[in-house]
Amino acid sequence: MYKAANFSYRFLNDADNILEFLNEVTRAVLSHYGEAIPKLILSSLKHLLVESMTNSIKHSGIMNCNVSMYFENKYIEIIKEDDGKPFTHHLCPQWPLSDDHITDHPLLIYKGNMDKLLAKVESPCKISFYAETEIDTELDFEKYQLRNFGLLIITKCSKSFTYEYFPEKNINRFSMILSLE
Amino acid sequence: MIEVQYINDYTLITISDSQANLQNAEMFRIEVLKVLDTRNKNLIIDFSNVAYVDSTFLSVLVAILKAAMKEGGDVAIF
Repeated sequence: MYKAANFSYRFLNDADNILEFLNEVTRAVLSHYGEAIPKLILSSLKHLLVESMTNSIKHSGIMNCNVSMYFENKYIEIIKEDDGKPFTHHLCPQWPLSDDHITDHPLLIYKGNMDKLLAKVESPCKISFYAETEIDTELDFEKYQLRNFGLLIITKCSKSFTYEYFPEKNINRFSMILSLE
Repeated sequence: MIEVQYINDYTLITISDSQANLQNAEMFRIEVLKVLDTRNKNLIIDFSNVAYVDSTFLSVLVAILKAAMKEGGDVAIF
């Protein structure tokens, strides 16, 4: 059954637009949930959105993306869609994933000094991200990577975070659930 | 995009932009590394004017910390 979004936004892929977008989202969230919404949750929502938009600006190769938000009692669902370049990584180089890339083992997307970002292959066109903490006792900056650090931030702010590619329409969908509990 | 004040052994760097993101991260890196080359190796970076910081800017902060530590310095942020 079709569910209307509580908040929809067509984001023009330019870093200058991020702050205005965050302000619009904050107004909509406060209007729906009231001022009692914990600041930590608002902060997580902002981090998650900043990194989602930054990802679009850096990697989608197109002018804009669409953001839809669904305000539920216990969570907020955020869906970002575009028809730009699909998400790529050397472990998932094309979509749908070929049999060679579909495995029960998680894909290691990012590794830093404190966290690993992993992805579980849900289907040939869908992966779900999750993070594991693994603290190195020695601070080694050489292990810091630029690429996919933003995806780790989104994952750590979310209760769930998935990427799905729809080949028939060349649509990329990033879905995030932010818990309100 | 930055204001620089030298205070004893420290250099206070205030970010004047309201956003710390992929658009100004590289300029910030270049300007701060210039500061690091000229005087104190201990930097304090003031983010009080900044509304949000993205992952690109965070990566630049790591690069600056790495450069400062190589010179025997350190970086603090607030």
